[in-house]
Amino acid sequence: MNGDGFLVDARGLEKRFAIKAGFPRRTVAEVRAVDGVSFEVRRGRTFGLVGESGCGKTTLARTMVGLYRPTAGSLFFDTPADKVELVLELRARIAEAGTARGPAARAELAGLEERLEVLRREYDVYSLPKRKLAAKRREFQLVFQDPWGSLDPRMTVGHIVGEGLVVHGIGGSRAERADLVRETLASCGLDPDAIDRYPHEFSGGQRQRIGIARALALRPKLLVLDEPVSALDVSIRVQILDLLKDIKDAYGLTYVFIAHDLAVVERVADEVGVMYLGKIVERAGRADLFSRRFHPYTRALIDAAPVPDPNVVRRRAPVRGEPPSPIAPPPGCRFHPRCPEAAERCRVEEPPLVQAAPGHYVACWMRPPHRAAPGPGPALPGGRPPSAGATVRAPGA
Amino acid sequence: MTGERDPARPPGGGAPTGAVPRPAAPAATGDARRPLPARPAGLAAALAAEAPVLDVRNLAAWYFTDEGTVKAVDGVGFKIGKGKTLGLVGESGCGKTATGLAVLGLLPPPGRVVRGEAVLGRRDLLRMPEQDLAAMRGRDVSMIFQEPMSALDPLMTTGAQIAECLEMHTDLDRRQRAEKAVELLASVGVPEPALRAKAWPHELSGGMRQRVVIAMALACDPKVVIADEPTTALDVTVQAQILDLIEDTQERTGMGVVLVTHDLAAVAQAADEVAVMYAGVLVETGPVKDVFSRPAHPYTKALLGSIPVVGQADRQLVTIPGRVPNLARLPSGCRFADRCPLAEGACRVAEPDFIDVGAGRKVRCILATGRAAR
Repeated sequence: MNGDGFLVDARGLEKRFAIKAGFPRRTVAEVRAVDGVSFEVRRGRTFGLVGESGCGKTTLARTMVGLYRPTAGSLFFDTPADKVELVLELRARIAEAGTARGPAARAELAGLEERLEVLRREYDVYSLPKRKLAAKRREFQLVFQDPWGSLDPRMTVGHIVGEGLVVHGIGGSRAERADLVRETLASCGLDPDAIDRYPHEFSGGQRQRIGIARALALRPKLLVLDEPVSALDVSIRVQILDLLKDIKDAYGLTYVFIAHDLAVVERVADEVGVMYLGKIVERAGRADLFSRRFHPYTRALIDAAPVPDPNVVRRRAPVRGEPPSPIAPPPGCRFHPRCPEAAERCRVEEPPLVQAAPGHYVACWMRPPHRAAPGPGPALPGGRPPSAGATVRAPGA
Repeated sequence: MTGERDPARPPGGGAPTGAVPRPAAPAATGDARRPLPARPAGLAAALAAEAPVLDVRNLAAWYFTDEGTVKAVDGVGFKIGKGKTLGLVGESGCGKTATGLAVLGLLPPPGRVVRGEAVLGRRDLLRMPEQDLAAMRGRDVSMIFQEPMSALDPLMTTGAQIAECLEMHTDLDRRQRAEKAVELLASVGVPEPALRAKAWPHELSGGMRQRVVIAMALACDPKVVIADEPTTALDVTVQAQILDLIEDTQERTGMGVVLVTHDLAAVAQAADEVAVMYAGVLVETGPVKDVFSRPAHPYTKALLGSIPVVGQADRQLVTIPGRVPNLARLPSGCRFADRCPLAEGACRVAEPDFIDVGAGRKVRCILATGRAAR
C-alpha cells in the first residue's frame, strides 16, 4: 500500500448522531451514519461512491469537507506519502505497545503517541489547529445535490459565488473578486452578467452550474460532489456531466462523486466504492467492480439498475425488502437479511473488507478470499473470473 | 398480463390517439371493471382491444397567471386499453403531471381545463358535476402520487386512511373495512400488515409509504390508475419491487395504468404504449418496443440517447442543448426547434401536425413525417 499520489486518504471515518429524548434530554440511541470508512483518492482521479438512501453517503460527504466533525477517524488531505506511512506505522506500533506492560513499555507508548499527535496536528484535517484548517478548507469544496435548497434566494449570484473569496481573503479588491467571479461563471457555462441576478431567475440546470461555480471560485484541489445530477432532468444531466468533465481537465481537479445512479458513476469514476448502512462493502477499479461485482449487494444494485430498453426482459426485483435502520444494524453482515446467499456465518460474524483480488476489496463471507468467486452473472457479459487474490487486509479494516 | 390480452391485437387498438373523437365503445359500461363474463375468447379479446378504459381527447389545461397564460397541456390525447399501461414521459415542466391532475379534476387554481374530453366508461370526467366526479375518484379512477409522505395524512394511521377510502365507496361496515385495509396492505407486500395498519405514516420507510399509497389507490379496484412518478422518490432496489407490484395488480384486476414519469427506463420496463410529451403537447406516441427501437421524433431520439446505462459507459451520451421553452411564451412553429439538431427554416413557421405514420404510431415532426410520406 503506497500512498504516493493520494490527494485524499481517509482512514476509519466514523460519524454517529445521538438521538436524544425524554426529560432531562439524554441519548437514547445512536445512528451510525458512517461506520468506519477508509479509502484513498489519487490526484486527478474520480472516486465514485454509490449506495441507496440512508447508506451514509451524504454524511460522509459532509464529514469529508468538515461540515460535520467525525466521531473517529482521520482524513489526510494532500499529505506527503511518507508522512501517511509514518502515521500508519506509528499506529501499528501503538497498537502493539498497548498490550505490553511495565514502565518502559508505557514510556515508549507515550512517546509514540506524542509523535503521532504531532503528525496529526500537521496533516490530519480533523486534528489541524483552527487557523490551519481554515486555510486548508479552501482546497476541498462541496457541491450540493439540491439546486433549489442550496442557494440563498436573497443573495445575488455574484454574492453567492464570491462569498468564499471574501471569507478566504482571495482577490485584493472588490473589483478583482468580481473579475474572478465572472471568469468562474464563464468557465461554468454561465453568462458573466448573471453576477447581478438572483437564483430564482435560473432553471435547475443553471442553478447547479451556480453551485459548481461557488465551489470552483476558490480554485480547490478536491470537489466532493453529492448527487450533483440526480435532481436534474435527463437532458440537463448530460450538460452538467460534460461541464464537470471540462472543469476537471481545465483546473486539474480531483473528484469524490457520490450518486445512487450506478450508470452515472460508471461513466465518471476511476474507482468505485459501494456503501451499505454506513460501511463500504466493495471497492475496486471501475471496470473490475462492474465486471466482477463480487458483493451480493453490488450485484443486486446492478441488476436493479433500470435499462431503457423494452427488449431487455426485466428481472424480478433482485432483493427483497429495504435497508434496515442504521440505529440498530443487524448483527453479522449488515446485508444478510436481504441477501439471497446469506449463510449461518453471515448472521453472526461481520465480514471485514479484505482484498479478494488485486486492488479489489470485498466484505463478504461468501466471496474470495473466504470462498471461490461465483460466475459473473448474466447482466454484464465479459466479466473475467478473478485471479486468486492474496489475503491482504484492507486499509483500515 | 391478462389472458384476454392479445399481443397481436389490431394496430392502434390501445394506442394513444390525437383529437379524433370516437363513439364510446359498447363494452365499457358501468360494470366493466368486473372481469368480463365468459365469452368466446376471440370476441372478448376483440372487445377488450376495442374499448379503451380511458379515452382522453384533445385535452387542454392552462394556468391563467399574472404573467400570462401558461399552456401546460395544449391538446393531448391518448387511450388506455384494459390491463394496459401507457407511459406518459417528459421532462419537468412539460405538462405531464398537469395532464394527470386535469383528468381527475384536481388541477389547482389558477389552472383550468379549457377543452377536451376524458371518457371513462361512457362518461366524460371533465364535464361531470363535482359530486359525481368525487364519487368516481377512488372507485373508478385513482391516483398514485409521487411523494408518498405528502399524499398521506400524518394524523391518521395507515389503516384508517385506507378504511376511509372504503367508507366513501363501499357499504362495508367498520369492522369489514378494517379487515379489508389489512388485506390490502398484505396484497401490496407490506410485512406484518395488521401491525402496519396501526402505524403512522412517519413510522414507515419511503418504500412502505409508497405501498400504502398504492394500497389506497387500489382499494376499490379502479379501472384506471394514474401513477405520477410512483418510483422516482425510491431507491433502485425498491423501484423494481414497486413496478412488479403494479404489474401484478394489473394482471389480477385488469386495470389500465397511466405511468406518468420522466424515467424512460421505467417506461421501457412497465409500459405497453408510450406517449412522449414536450412543452405541453405530445410529440410521439406508439408501442413502446417500436418507439424505443426506432424513435422518429428528434426529441425522443435525443432523450433515449441521453440516458447513461450500466455496462455502456463507452457510448457517447447525446447532449440536448438549451432548455424547455417557457410555456407562457412559446416559439412559433415546432416547440422543440430551438434545441433540435435537425431544425430547418420550415420548422419555425408553423407548429407541425400530429400525424399518423402507421403501426399505431404518431409523430409531430415535419422532418420525420415528411420522410415517412416520401
